[in-house]
Amino acid sequence: METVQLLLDGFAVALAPLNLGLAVAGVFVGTVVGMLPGIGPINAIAMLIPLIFAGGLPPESALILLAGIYYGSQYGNSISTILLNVPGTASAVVTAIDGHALTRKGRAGEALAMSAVASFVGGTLSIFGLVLLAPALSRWAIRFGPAEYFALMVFAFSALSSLAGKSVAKALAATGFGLFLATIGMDPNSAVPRFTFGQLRLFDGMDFVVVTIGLFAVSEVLQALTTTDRAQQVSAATGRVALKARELLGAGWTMMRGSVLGFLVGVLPGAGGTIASFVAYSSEQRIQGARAHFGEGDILGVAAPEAANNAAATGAMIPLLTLGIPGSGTTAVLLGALMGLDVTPGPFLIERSPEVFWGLAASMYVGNVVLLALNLPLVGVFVKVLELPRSFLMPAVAALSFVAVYTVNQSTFDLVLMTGFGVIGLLMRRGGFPLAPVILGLVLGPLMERNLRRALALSDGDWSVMFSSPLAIGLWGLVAASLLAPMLVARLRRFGEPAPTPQN
Amino acid sequence: MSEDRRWGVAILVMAVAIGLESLSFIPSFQTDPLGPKAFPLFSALLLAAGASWTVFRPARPPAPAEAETLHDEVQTQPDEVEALSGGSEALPGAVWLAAGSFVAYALLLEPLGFFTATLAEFVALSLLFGGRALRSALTGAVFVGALYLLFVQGLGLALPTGSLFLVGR
Repeated sequence: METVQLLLDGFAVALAPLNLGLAVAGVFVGTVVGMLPGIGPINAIAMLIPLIFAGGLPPESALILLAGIYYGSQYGNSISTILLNVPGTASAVVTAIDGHALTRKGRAGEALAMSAVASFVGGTLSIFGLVLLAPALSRWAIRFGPAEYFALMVFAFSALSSLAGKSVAKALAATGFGLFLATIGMDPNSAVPRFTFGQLRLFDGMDFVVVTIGLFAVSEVLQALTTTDRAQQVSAATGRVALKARELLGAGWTMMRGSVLGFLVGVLPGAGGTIASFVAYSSEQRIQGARAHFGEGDILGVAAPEAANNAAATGAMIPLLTLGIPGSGTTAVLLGALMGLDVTPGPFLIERSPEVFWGLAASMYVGNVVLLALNLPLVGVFVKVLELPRSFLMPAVAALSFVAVYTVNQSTFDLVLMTGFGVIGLLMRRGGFPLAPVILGLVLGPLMERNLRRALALSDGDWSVMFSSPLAIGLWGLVAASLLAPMLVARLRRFGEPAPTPQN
Repeated sequence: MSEDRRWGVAILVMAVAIGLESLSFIPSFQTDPLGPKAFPLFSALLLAAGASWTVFRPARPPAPAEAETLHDEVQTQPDEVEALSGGSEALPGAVWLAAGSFVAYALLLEPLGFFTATLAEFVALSLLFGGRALRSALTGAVFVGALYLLFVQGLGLALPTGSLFLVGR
């Protein structure tokens, strides 16, 4: 009963006129930015961070805006995936298979509508999971000491490295690079400057907005220069964005299954959305058998991964909010933004700032409703953005990036750093290195170091403290398991292979 | 030597440099058993471990294309990535021109002011993407002006005005 009361209080927060307006604005702007080809949620959130920090908003309102941008950018990403076959994230790759096939058949409108409905179902159902699971997990997480936190963060890295990428070695190197970036600046414990080379500007360390925008947005602009324009006429082919009742009802169970599966997978750190959409797609393919025509433009092939993907996005909020540990690049950026708002996610968040947690939970629900209400009628308008030539879109992305980076510290030096990270990001993409572990390393690095040093200070340098509790030993077991997981995943992948790869 | 191995060697060199630099982090007083150098050393070790594997692993046939599609969180455009990741060709000149223009922008932003500098950058980048000069200047002026109004008037953020517009005062 208490939960219901708290959730109702949350709705009172989320439905306050200012917050409702922010949710609508966030979803709208997030959709437009997330839709830009190649710009996924990570980019959209990082580029829009000045909007979040600037208004002098109370934390719960800023969070609501942030959540709106997060949801909007995910749906925007689905739009460009379905229409252009340009997934901005790996989790949208599966949607591209049947989504784009439907577009080629002239049924893009149905695919877009199904994507919106499935996202809504997945997002809505998983919020119940969040509300039920998060308070319980955070009561349990209070027992975490520094050693357990350290082990948990190692687990986040090992899961991300082994589940998300194709090369564990490259993911490991990217993680190391991120952790290295995190150590730049003044060591808070001993006041020793590290890797600053006497540059005062480096004493405060690397700002995650600068690194994220450089690695993702700027490198995207630079990468676009290495490819040819493929501007397409898309709005003509979209058709009416609506679903027939039969299609909607026929996809009901598919969306339910996708949501539950997606939520469960999403709670685990690592490649939540990617694995979730993949597993949902292939299991649905098996369940439907010969009735469905997956890969040739089946509407269920859009419903399953989209529901799973969105449920996973909510599921990923659980470790983020209750433990303070992000499990993906996107949630790492969210954590960075939260810290900038002086909200420290962790076991005490729900207890100490209930209005933040419950307001966020309610606003996620409101955000989903807004997404559905806004997108079904407006998709036709949004799609026009995709017809803009790159000679407008890319300079616009660059200009927005400059504003975002400059306003962090009012520093032009940050713009130079951003450019450097843009070149590094482009080189890493070309070398096949994943970028998400860098951001995770940068955001988690300071936490990880603090907990490691605290644990060893408490034990006077005795390393056995790292394995001194059953909880810690269990977490190290998970680390080992996640490192063995790639073999398992490879086996699963052979087992449930969706037939065609999403290529033109 | 394959592309991967060249990467591996470069990262190894970087890891060694980070490791050596870390050893010089000696606090003036003992703060905690680990001290400031342990964690950077750990990051260098991770870099080195990842790099060593790509350098010393046995050669094997290229991964099948499907592995490519389940890539990291923000790997865009699978078909392009595949085309690019194998390629060891140099970056096109346009990339360096653009990167150079970003640095020039950083240097000129405060003297020229946000509107002028950003408009110039907008047009330059637009031309690199094959846009037409007059059209870029017009759309750029509208877009940059809207950005300025949104952030400075709407959100109260400080963006440099520059001295160009102050000359007349």
